[in-house]
Amino acid sequence: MFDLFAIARGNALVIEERFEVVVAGMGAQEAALAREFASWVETEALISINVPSFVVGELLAGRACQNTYELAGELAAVSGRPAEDILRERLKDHYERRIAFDGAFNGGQNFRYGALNAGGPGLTQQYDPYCVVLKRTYQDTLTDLAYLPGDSLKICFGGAGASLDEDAVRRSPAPHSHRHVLVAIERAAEVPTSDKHEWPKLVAPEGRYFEVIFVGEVLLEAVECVRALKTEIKRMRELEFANFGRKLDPGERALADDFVVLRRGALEGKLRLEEV
Amino acid sequence: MSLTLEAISAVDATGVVRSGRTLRLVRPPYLLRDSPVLPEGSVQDAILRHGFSASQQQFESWEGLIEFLSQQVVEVRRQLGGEVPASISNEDILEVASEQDLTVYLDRVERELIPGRLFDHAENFLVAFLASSALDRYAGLGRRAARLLQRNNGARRAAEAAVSELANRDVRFPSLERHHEVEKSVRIAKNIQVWGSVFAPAT
Repeated sequence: MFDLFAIARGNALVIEERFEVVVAGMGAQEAALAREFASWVETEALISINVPSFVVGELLAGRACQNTYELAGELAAVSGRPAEDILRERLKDHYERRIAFDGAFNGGQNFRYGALNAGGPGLTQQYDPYCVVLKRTYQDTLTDLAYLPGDSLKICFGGAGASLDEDAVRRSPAPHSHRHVLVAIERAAEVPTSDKHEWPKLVAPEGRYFEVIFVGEVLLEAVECVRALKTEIKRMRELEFANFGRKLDPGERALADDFVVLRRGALEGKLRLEEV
Repeated sequence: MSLTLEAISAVDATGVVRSGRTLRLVRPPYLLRDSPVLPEGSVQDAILRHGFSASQQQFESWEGLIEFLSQQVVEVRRQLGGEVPASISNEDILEVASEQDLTVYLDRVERELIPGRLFDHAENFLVAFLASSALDRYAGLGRRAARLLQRNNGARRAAEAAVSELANRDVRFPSLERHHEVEKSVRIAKNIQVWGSVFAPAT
């Protein structure tokens, strides 16, 4: 069994060396820019988790953000069915790969998955439209943290099969202390051609994010802000306005109610809601 | 039409749905313009990264699919210790609305609801707003809301007057009148009512 976080810590020096090789191949101006970009990522980037509105409501109600296993455990407690059955049913064809990955690491079932975020709505916001950004002070308290240059399930599984690529597991993770170096290595070619105001997009462009795996309880106190796309706010506004003209159906009511809760939380100063 | 729900996020009544060759994200308020087309491979991402559950459930119509999503959101939220409220209070919506939200709502009353003769919808919003605490926070919008309420009432009265004038003139069947067939048609209508059928009973 692997210790993901020990592997990440062990990679610090190699990642540092890889960065030096990359900048050595650049012109002086570009190299300086790459170093400036790395420093900027270190200062600006935070861990984010994209969630549905229901989860923001849970946080506001004082409950913790749940991972897949915790949610299955809760549903198992309510239904009396084994959590494993619920997980299998939920993941179907993807069950083996999820279990193979998480099961390969010590405490894999406690992993939480997020992404590095330096501004913007986070990854694939259409599925989980609310981007919960965690406080720097919270992430500084975490001891188990690893950063990968993309989706762990894609990086650590070679092909369509379910066998774990152990070399990739050993090679890929970076520790918290070197997250910015990892980002700078991966984006080195794009930094010189990007305006500085576009640097946030370099950290998490569509489909090319840096995954963060960590262990720790996420409660409202850990949340720096919640970001939502303007289009999502507009969608919720449509729902709420429709409420004056007709009875909303259950799905609409669920989301409209979540949004009222979110807005009230923001008005009461319990969280900061940013439209991006 | 065959629709396949390939992944579902029951907690927010959202599904990844295959319709023909197209994969779509289907979510409240279930409007086509709010249902983006997704690339292949999205199903895997939705399930492995975003808490969706795999599914292969088939539906014959969009109505059936939406009804299923509606049932699921109620069920899963109940399992997780919450309830989907039976209704959403307009006061709650207004209490947390921003100035921008309210401005957008007033714009829609002016540009869509009144011209579209959706007088009840417009009045419900305007009256609720004028009676809400939101008016204290954004007093500047009150005058516009009051003016729109007057305009809505005026437009409603004008529309009702036009309908009643039409009824008084009894020009509902101008073609029958032109051909002097009104009396005959009334007789036929009465017979249909008596027989309970458009067919004459056998004699």
